[in-house]
Amino acid sequence: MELTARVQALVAELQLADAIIDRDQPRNDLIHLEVVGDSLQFTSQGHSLLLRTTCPVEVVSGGAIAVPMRRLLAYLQLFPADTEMRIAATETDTAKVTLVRSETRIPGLAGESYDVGLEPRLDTGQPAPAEMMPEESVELPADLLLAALNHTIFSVADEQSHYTIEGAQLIVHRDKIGMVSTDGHRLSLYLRQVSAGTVQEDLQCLISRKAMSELKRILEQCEDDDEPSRVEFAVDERQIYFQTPRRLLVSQRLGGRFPEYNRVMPKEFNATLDLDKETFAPVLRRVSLFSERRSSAVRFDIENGEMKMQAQVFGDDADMLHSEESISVDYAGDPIRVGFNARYILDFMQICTGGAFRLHIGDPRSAALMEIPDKDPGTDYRYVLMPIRV
Amino acid sequence: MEVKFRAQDLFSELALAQGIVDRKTTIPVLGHVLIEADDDRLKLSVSDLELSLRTSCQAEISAAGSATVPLQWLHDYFRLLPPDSEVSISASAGDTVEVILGSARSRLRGGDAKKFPDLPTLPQDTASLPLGILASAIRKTMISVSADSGPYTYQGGCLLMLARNSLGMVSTDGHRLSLYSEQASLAGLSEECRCLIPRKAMLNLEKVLAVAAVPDGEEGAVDFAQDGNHIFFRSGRRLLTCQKMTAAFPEYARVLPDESEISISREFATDDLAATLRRVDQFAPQESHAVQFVLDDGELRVTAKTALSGESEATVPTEYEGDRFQVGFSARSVLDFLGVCDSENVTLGFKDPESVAQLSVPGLAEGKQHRYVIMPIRQ
Repeated sequence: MELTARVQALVAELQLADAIIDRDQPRNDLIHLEVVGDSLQFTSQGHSLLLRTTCPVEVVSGGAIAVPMRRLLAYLQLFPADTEMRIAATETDTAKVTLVRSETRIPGLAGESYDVGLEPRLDTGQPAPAEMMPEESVELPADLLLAALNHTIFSVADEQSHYTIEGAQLIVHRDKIGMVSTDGHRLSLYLRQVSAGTVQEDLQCLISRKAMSELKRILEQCEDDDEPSRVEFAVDERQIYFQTPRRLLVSQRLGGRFPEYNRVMPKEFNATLDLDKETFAPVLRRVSLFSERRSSAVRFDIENGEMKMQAQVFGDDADMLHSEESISVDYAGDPIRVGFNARYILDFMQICTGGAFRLHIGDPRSAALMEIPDKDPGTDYRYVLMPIRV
Repeated sequence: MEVKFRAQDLFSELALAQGIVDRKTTIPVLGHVLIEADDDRLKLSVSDLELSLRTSCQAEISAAGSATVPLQWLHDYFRLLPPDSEVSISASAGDTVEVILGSARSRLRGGDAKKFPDLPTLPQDTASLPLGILASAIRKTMISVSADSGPYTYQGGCLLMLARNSLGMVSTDGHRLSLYSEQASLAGLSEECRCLIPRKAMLNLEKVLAVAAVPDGEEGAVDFAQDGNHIFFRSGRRLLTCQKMTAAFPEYARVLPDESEISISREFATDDLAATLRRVDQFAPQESHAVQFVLDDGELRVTAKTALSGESEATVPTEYEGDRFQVGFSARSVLDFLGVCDSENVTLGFKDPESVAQLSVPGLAEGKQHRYVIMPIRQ
């Protein structure tokens, strides 16, 4: 195997692999490089994920080799992005990398000894990534998928949330596509209407948190590369597949059943407040500094056109820390007192890029709903938040 | 106590104070900042018993008084405030400190100002050190101060040398030595003086000097003083005090090679050499960072090799016609110097493969000296 390319072309693919390959095996972070046609194909795998990508290169001779990914990446990143590089596999299964006035040899493994296979093993009979996809696939708009990931990834359960499903539900319906995620304390639902005929059949499946963040990275890279914005999605009994023109992500399917999210959606509210991130977020951030670290509990008192936020930490005898601030709001109804985890609200602020948002509050024990009013038409985003006792 | 001030004025001082306070301290009051309202200033003091910083910010005082406040809290809170907002702090009887910003009221538990340790007072006699030269000397010698105290007592410290007409600093960790000195007239210095400054004091002094307000066209000065146990640096309203290190610094002059002993001397472009070393270092042993420098046939070849990670070789063109010359160094050590040399070119000087090499800056102005000596690594 021998080829020449620009440093940046390889670095982009290696960076995508960096998040795939588990870090707990520093000495076995091999990535498989293989010349396929006039491209170089990269295969990397980590716990329950496999990534296969290609980039165009100048091929001198064909072949394959597996090399330590992080070492190669760290080295190439030290060169200017548009440097011309040459990489060749030697007879001793060493990758010889030649750049301006430099020559480096990185011991690797023969291409054929690299074992491709998720548990349970993938069928790796076909070399070309497209052929690994099941035949029946659905085409999803990449921008929709990326928006859905951004709006739901933060409320996916993690190890600490003691929630069974560490992933989001992908919803592909005939009239709308989107994602929903929850960790038991809050729920994010993102849906966008699509024209009839985009999808033939309703389907939904779970995507793990790790697959979500990798897919997000791939779609962002595709945007940088100005690639056509479409993603082929397919699912079989064991795995799910996302294929962009040059990149294929395969993830093991998550077990479990996503809860009936429509039943969680609160319908009745006592108050609806139109708020502005610019005035609301800094105040909440300051007050939450005085809250209990674990719960981040902040109490909201809303009455007479004023929203008071209050937090305290109790010490040995009395309150050790205490903070209260208020902002004016357009509300004249009955006084409301309710508590929320400030961190959860601040998470929502991250994606509330426009500034304006709407908060619907029910009684102190039922869920609140946050929305972004001026979203693109056809888009529905809802963030459901359970209150906490204060 | 009741004071009013601009959030940014206090925050910039709290950021400096953060460097002094040890987060893991077991003495609660040392995690606090002492605030004292007096005249028209809010005074702040922090200490870790060995090193202390006193500073102040402009404030409107309604009632004088003092209190201690957990520094970390105060810092985290003020970071979230708009810089220009007007804030007031009040402390009443008991330990409660209240911070008020517009409609926002926050209370936190402070401490008794009387429990804060007494800090040493600045002696009458001070010498004036040029700020710019002191800052350069710290930056250039910091790289070879060892991070923690090793088997030798001088380790973890840096030697400050003051004479009537020069200011210099030397540091070594046993593998390399940095020397920087510059001609300067030090007004008020009664006698030549040498003292060891602990690493933590250097780090904090560097930060204090970096934010010193020096009027345009002026050089800026730092007041220096010492008493039996302490060294004092005063830059404007900020006073840094540290305990003296008592250890003897080694006779460093004996380590410096004589110019006549250096048989091979070549100049290299700093950026080019640094980029080359950084790349080859990827393939050097992780602990030693050992790379080989080979001068041969019109080029400097830098190579490294480990069984596991592979091998790398890069060349830098240079005029060299003599016999093949090979010597090993820690790439990290050389890179440290290249990072602080502030020059487009550097000179590498060798004597023989068993002796120290010298890195220096070509064409330094008269009266300036910047030398870096490193031990070779045998293959």
